[in-house]
Amino acid sequence: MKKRLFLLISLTLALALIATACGSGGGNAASDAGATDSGLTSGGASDAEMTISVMYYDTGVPGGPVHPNTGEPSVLLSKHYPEIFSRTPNVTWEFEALQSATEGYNSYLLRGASGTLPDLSLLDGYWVAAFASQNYTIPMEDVLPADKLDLVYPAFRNMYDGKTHGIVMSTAFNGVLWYRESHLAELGLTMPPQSMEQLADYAKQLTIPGERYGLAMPMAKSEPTTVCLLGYYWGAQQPFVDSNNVAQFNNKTSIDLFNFLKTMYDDKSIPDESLTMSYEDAERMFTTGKASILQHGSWLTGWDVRTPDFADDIMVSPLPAPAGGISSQNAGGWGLSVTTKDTAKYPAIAEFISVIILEPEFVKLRLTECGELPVSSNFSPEDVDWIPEKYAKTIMDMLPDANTRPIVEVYPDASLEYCQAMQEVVMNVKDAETALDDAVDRVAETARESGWGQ
Amino acid sequence: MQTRSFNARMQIIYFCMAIPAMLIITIFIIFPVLYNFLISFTNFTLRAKDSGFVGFQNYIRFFTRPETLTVVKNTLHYMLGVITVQFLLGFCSALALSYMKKGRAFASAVLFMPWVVSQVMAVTAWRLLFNDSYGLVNYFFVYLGLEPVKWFSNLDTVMWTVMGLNMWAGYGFTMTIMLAALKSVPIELYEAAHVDGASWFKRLFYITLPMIVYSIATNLILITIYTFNIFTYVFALTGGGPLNRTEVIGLTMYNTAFVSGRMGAGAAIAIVMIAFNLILAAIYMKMLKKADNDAL
Repeated sequence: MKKRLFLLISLTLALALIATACGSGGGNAASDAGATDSGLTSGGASDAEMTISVMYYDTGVPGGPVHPNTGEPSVLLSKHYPEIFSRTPNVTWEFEALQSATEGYNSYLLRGASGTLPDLSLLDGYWVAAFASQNYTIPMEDVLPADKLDLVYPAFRNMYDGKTHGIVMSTAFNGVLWYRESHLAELGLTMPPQSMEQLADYAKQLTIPGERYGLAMPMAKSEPTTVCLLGYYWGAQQPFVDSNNVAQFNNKTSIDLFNFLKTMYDDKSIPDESLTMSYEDAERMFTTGKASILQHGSWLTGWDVRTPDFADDIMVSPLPAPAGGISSQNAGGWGLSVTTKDTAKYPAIAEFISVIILEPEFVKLRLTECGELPVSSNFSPEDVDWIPEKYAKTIMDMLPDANTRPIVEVYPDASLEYCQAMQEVVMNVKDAETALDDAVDRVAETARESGWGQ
Repeated sequence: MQTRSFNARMQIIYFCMAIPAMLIITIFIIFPVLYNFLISFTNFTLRAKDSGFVGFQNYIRFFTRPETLTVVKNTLHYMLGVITVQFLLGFCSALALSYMKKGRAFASAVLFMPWVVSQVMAVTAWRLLFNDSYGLVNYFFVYLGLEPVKWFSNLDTVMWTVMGLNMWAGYGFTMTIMLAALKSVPIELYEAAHVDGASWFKRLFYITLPMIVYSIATNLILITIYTFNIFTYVFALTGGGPLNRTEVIGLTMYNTAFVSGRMGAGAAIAIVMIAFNLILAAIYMKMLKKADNDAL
């Protein structure tokens, strides 16, 4: 009897220990957050008191780090949130910090499946398909008035099945051309390249073997490389992957693009190591004077800080268009999506989105802080005074024609297969047509296996 | 009678004391592995609601897709290269240290340092040092009048660049285990051999190596497991490129499960990896048992 009692007590103690350990690490994030500093009450009380949880960048979470661009606490804390709180006096706002890309994507999908996503989530543009297809997100049409929603440029509304499942907060272009004016002047050139042939030609002429390359750009097998290439691709205004998850990129535009890259690779006017280079590596080549032209993001406007020695020498240009196309850009980025089905919260969420994304006086403060571009048409180019004047017009002129990544489930796989095909062409393993057809087949196989469209 | 009752009581107490650990192992290791095994037979993905049983399709696909051959070749290349060089480097360092009379502790600490350097820092340094265009290594090559090497862009050298980082970071581990093993060999054996006129090589091959054979085997198995599961260095240095030339099985598993979101297919690759690790672990356990028996 004693033995049994002893065993029972031991088991109870052991289970209690485990339960305590699990309880201290897990639990409901939303309710836990309410008891911490991240829970902010907007004051006042009404009959419909509620709590709304928001996933945001860590700099926008009370108690989070200072903004890296300013070294100061984010303007969200001092300007935006007080305004939101005053408009929604019955709401307690709780904030949690966004996780990094790959980990975030999977863990938020798991949270979606378990119904524990915050009420308002920050999702990368191409993630939206997986969330919307499983009803984790709510169409913005149910939340925002049409006149407000229509202010957002179509490219920055994350559409799925004809509905807006997210709004990009602010944007930047993934691949503009930054170039050294003095290097072009050495060749007697006063204008940046206007066509892809011209770019290949300039890059070749600007190359000094052993000293510098004409062009530096990321070409590693990764999604960021694809968004860099999409800048050219969108110029032909063709779909990359259609809404049925069928890759459409095996076309003349891609063949021309890959052959154009191969020409530069064969000419040694882009570095051999481009095939494992990231954005950061390409930027480093440019800032160390090892490259004359840099294909990189439009967010690199702070050259005065990064390269004070030759900041005055740097100018920006749009990517040249493919033959017969228009000069375009890939843009997009992180957007807010409504991830609660509690309709009572929608008016307050609408106020939050309005202040953060749509109202110029507040948006401007945020964009000045992060150096990005507005996504709504109620912003005139003259308002964009946080970008150095000599770049501002060129960059702003690209905005209306910018395009975003396809919002379909298979896109991450398609982007990697596209890079794989590009590398096969550049390294002379396959001709462009075969490499692209093979890539499309691989994407189809992945989509079929996963039960996506087709 | 009383002793038997006492022993039985103690057995229960021991069992109860082991319960928390067993529960933790069950929850955090056994259950995830079993669950992983189950989902390896499904087309489960986080990006779609519907998933179902697909039998051995994930396994068949992994073993029949043409890319797998490249991945297996790369993994074997990586393992053989790293295991051989890391072991020889570690063993030779340990041997050299074992002969040092002064400053051994300092030298050991210096040589062991790469093992404790954060992997992220090591990768960052390696990228800068071996950059084809502005890396310090090529800078010295050019300075010495040599041709710069395409560390990351040449399909023949890129794998060695990644392996080099693993060898550099890992040899300290081998060295430490080997040094401990070398110090455990009774000095009397060397003295007797010396009196008998045995050369240094004979002492190495007929005394040292036989005496530390289990430590060597243990070391080799641990390095094999570690290199087979390698992910960080490859992921951060090359991402498996260019042209999948450095894609090893750990990276394929990660890309399939977490980038592509195909958890079922990723789980199947993980099970293949677990099976390989289990075989190595079984060999290791058997060897330990034999070593224990030999010691008795």
